[in-house]
Amino acid sequence: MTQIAPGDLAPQIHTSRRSMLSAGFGAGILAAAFSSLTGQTASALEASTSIEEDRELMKLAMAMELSIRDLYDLAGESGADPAVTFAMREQHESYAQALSGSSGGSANTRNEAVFNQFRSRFATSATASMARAAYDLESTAVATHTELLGVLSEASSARLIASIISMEARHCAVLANLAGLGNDLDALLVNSADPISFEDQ
Amino acid sequence: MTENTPLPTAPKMDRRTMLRAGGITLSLGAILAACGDGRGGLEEPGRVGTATPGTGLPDAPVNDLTYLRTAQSIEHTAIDVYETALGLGVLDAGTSAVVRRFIDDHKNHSAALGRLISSQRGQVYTCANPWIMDRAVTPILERIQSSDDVVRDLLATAHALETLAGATYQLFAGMLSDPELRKAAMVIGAEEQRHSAALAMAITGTPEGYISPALFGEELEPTDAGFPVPYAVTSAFGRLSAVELVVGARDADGARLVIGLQTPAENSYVYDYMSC
Repeated sequence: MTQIAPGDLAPQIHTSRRSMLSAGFGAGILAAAFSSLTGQTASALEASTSIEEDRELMKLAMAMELSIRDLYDLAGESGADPAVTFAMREQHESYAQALSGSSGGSANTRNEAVFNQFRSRFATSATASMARAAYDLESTAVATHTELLGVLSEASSARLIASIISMEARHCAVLANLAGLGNDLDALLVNSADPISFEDQ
Repeated sequence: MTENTPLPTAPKMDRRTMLRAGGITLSLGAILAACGDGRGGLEEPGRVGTATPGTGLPDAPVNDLTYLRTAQSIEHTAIDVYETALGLGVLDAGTSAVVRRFIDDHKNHSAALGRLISSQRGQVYTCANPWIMDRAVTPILERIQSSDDVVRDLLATAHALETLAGATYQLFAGMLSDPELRKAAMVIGAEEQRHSAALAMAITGTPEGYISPALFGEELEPTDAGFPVPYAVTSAFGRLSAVELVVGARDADGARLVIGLQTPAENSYVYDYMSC
C-alpha cells in the first residue's frame, strides 16, 4: 500500500484566514448585494432575515453557480481535461438547479462579473492552468457560500448551502492536485479566498 | 297494477341491531369506567421478574452547545487516532508529516470550537467522544494492530474519520440555531472535507481517485481484496450517510471487520452533564 507521497513539508499550525474574517465583513458584502437587489436597507438584513430575504440571497448564489458551470463548459470546449471539466460542470449545474428550487427563481441568469473575471483563464487547453483558475474560483465559491450561511435564516437553506460547501471544498483539493499543488498542504487543505463581492451587480 | 297497502309490522330486533346496541352499551360502559373514581394502582409499565430496574439517563437539552461540544469530541477522537497511528511507528516520514499536520488542524478546530462554546457559556469538552471510541474506534484499532497491512488500515481509518467529521459539521450546520455558528461550523467542516479528499487521493491514487465513477453513472466496485475505494469527489452534494470502513486481517471465516461510522445522534451527543 502506497503511503502519502512525502512532500518534505514541515507540519505547520495554520489558522485559516477564513476563520479570522470578522462577522461584520461578510455580512456587509452580502447586505450590500441584498440591498441592490431588493431596495431594502442593509440593516434590514442584519437585523432579521426571512424566507423572502433568504430567497434573494439564494438567487445570488445560483447566479454564481451558473457562471462556474459556464466557465467549465468553456474550458471543456477549449480542450482541457474532458472528464474533470464535464464532472465539475455537472456538479455546478446541480447546485444552480437546487438553489433555483429553493429560491423560486429560474436557473437561467449567470453572474456576468464572475464569468468575465475568470473567462480568459478558463479558455485554455492546458489542464494545469485551467485547474489553477478553477481552484481559485472554487475557493471563492466556498468562501461566498460560507458567508451566506452566516446570514441565512432558514435551516433548510443552511442545509442546502452546507451540502454544497462540502463538495466544493473537495473540488478545491482535487484542483489543487491537478494544478500541481498536491505537495503544498496549505493549498491542498486550506481556503484562503475571499467571498465574492456583489456590490457591483 | 295493484296497489298494496303495507301491513303494520311489529318492532323487530334482528341480529345486526342487537350487535350494534350491545356495542354501544359496552362502549359507554368503558367510558364510564374510565371516568370513575378509585382507579388506584401503579403507573409504571408492568414488569416480570425481580431484576433491579434500570436507571435512565439524566434529562438534558439538545441545543447549540450540545452540537458544539459533540463536534469538539469528534476533533479529539481524530487527534487520539492520529497519535495512536504515529505511535505504531509504521508510517514513513512523508505520511507522518501529513498526520502531524492533520493533528495540528484538529487541535486548531478544537480551540476554535472551545471559543464558540465559551461564548455560549458552556464548558469545553476536550476529549474523545466516548460512544464512538467504545463502539467504533477501539475495536478498529484492536483489529489494525493485528492486521495484514497496518498502513493500509490506518489510512482507511483516517479517511473514514475525516469523512465522518466533515459530514458531522454539515449535519450540524442545518441544526444549529444561530447563523453565525452555522458559518463557523462549516469553516471547519470544509477543512475536514479537504482532509478526506486528500486522503482519498493518497489511497486511491490520481487521477483515478479524483471523481467517483458514480458521478458518470457507473457502478462502484470494491478493490479485488474487498475494500471500498475512496474518491475525493464522491457525489453531487455532501453526504450524511454512514461511512463504510473495512479493516484488519481476514478471520477464520475469511471476513474482515466492517464498520459503518455514522454521524452523531442522540446516543453519541456530548450532553451538558458530561465531562472528560
